Amino acid sequence: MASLRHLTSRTRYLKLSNLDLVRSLRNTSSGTIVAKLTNRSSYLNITTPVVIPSNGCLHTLAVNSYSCPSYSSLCKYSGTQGWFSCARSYSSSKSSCNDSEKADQLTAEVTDTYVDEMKDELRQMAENQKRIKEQVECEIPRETDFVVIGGGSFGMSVAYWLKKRHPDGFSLTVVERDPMHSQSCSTLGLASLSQQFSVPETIKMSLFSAEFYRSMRDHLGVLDLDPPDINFNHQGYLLLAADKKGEDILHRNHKTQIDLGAKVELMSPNMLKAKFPWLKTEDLLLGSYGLANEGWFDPWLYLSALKIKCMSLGVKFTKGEVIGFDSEDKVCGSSTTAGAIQRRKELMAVKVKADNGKTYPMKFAVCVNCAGPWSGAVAAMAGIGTEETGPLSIPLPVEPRKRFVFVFHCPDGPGINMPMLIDPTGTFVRREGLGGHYICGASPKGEDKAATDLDVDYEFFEKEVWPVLADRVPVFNNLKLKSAWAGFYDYNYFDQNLVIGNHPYFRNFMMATGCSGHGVQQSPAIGQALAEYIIDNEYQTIDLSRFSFDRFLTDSPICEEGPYII
Amino acid sequence: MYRFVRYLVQQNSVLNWPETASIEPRITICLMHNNTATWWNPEREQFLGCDLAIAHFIIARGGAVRFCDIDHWFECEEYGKVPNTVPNIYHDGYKLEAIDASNTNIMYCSFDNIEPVPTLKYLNLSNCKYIDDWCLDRLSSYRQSVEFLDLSGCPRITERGLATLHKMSKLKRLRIENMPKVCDTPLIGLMLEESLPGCIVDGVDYDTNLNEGVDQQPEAAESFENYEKKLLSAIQSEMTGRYFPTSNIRF
Repeated sequence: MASLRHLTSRTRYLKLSNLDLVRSLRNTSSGTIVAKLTNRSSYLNITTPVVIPSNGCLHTLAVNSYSCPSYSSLCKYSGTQGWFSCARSYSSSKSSCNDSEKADQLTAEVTDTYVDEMKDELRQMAENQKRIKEQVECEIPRETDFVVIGGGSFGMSVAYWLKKRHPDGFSLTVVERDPMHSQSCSTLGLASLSQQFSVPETIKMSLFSAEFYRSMRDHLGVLDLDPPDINFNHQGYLLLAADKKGEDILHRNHKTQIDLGAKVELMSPNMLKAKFPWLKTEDLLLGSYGLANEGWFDPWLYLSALKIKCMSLGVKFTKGEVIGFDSEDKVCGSSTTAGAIQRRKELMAVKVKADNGKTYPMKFAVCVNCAGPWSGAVAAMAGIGTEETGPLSIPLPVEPRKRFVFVFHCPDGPGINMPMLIDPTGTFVRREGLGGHYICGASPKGEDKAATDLDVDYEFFEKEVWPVLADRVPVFNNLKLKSAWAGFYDYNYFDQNLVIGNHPYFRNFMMATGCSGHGVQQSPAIGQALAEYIIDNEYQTIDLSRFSFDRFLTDSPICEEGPYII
Repeated sequence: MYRFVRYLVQQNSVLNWPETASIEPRITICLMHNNTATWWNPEREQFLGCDLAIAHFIIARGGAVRFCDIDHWFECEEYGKVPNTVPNIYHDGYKLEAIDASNTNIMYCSFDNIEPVPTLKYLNLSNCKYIDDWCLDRLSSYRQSVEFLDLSGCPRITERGLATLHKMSKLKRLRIENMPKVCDTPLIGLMLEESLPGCIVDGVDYDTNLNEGVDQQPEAAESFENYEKKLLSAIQSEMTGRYFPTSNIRF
């Protein structure tokens, strides 16, 4: 029996029986669920329904309109008794007054604010779900508010943080030329997280990212799907110093890291020998070991979790390659000022080449360049660095540099306490899994130039990596190389650090790139910082204004100081 | 949408409305914001000193503590309240020795309240449904003193988390029984014993793997009454936010 009762306050209560509800729910053609109340001739329009088989669990329905159109409320159906409580109703109609006489008992009162929030969020959640279901690689839109060039870890992170703020407020398109990420530095890299840097902002970004990965279920979880998991392996980094200079650097960095809250411990050679007996410590002066919030994870799982979350928030993913920009000459400066009228180029649209070979222009308000190793090339398409003098003379100094990763097996190698070991020469090695496999690599000491292919040079392993490893960890004399791959770094040849923010001339051309190998680990922080910069015009959480493009104009590099070269 | 509403059941069950009314109701996917198990209260520590502050925190959330030289456990009698036997002003002589947080809602942020006291030897985190690999990473703060660690039955811990326990150099005994998400428990048990010389790893059944391939009795189908009981207790525990444990072991 359904009944409605008025109260002097703004709440109304509606009682429906369990059986009534379940029997009467059906889909209408417009997509809403309609419940027919058995003793009433009018209907409840129910939107965003959530129905569970009735075994005493909570049912929650959002009721949109009831007999009188001005009625807007949220009904909560609870327990086995079949009580509905509707709150926040508006003016009554005559028919409702009559009902109050037949009214039944009350259920618990639901506060207005809670109900409002719940209603909004329910609606939001249902829309998000719908978006995932209908989201397929979309056609290239002609217009979009934000366009993100590059769908790797940076691009999707920026898209996530932007859309998280206002899921329906603006349109955001991510243009990625290779959805399989076969050359992306996010997936080919090792995705390791560490707080052991010297630049304070980088340490803060790593700490923030650790927190992000820890609470990833909350950030990137989507209703009704499995919570995302990135298979995080928690093992610290161990940085070694073999000379006085390296030792001083480690001491200085340790102080900065501890001040900012990182958990890092300095270890003397004796402590190192006691903890890691397989390590050669005779030539070492100091070691710096990360105790918590460090390790490595699976970048593929991270990217898929990001992508699903972005899709649920309404980000459009487009497959296409950016081949140019359209710009317009805008007049600025008033005509009454003495002197010439200033003309200024402004980027209006990006030219995207689709699979079918045709090129389509996509108009945007703000363009975010997250193309990783190729962001320098994308910036050049916009005109940055193409002129001899003037504001467009300095290019974006990011180019792809090739780095190798080798996988080997060593039967008697170090066990589970093996950290991510970084030798003073810059060679790194870590354990992979529990079966005696290890991953290693190094930066080239000699010539290092921009690369275009991903062929592996096995001689590099024989000549530069293996000898160093065998010297540092004598057990590694006996190893078998299993496989190798190459990947690109988005190498910033100016100072190997992040470039973030807008270009000084093209104010709507944002960029986030240039991390030169430690980008993926910090992508959550970078995405959030750039989203704040775009929406709020200033960095709120971590101040990254030092890393702007302007430092290239003023020639002030921010170099990472470590006892190694990576 | 099914999971979403189950979540609502956990968080905002109308049956328990008066109890949860003080918690700010926000529907997010994050359980932490609604869970009082996490809130860090600095005043508590100022008033009580480290050891007693931790004791109050743990006991109020359904755990138990033991102090050095005091033989019995101080247990939780009523959820949310600390019994009178535990002093509520700083007292000398109460040094925390053991924490039993089994079957509680303790999670990563709860450890903000648990300062690493040098006398803490025993830490029981069994059957805690929110303890995951990140919490184990955080346990490295207690590596100077903890000698016994029990992680049995925690559903979110994987072998990657167990691999971080090599930092607990003082560990003498580790219990890792019945951990559903850990693959290769015998392997990780052996590797932990190898890297922690003084430690014995309990709860690992090394023999099961040996018996694979031999004729095994098929598992008897669970009777319907047992299944129903489990379902009811699961619904009940979700409704009230408390864990109804099936076993409770304390040494």
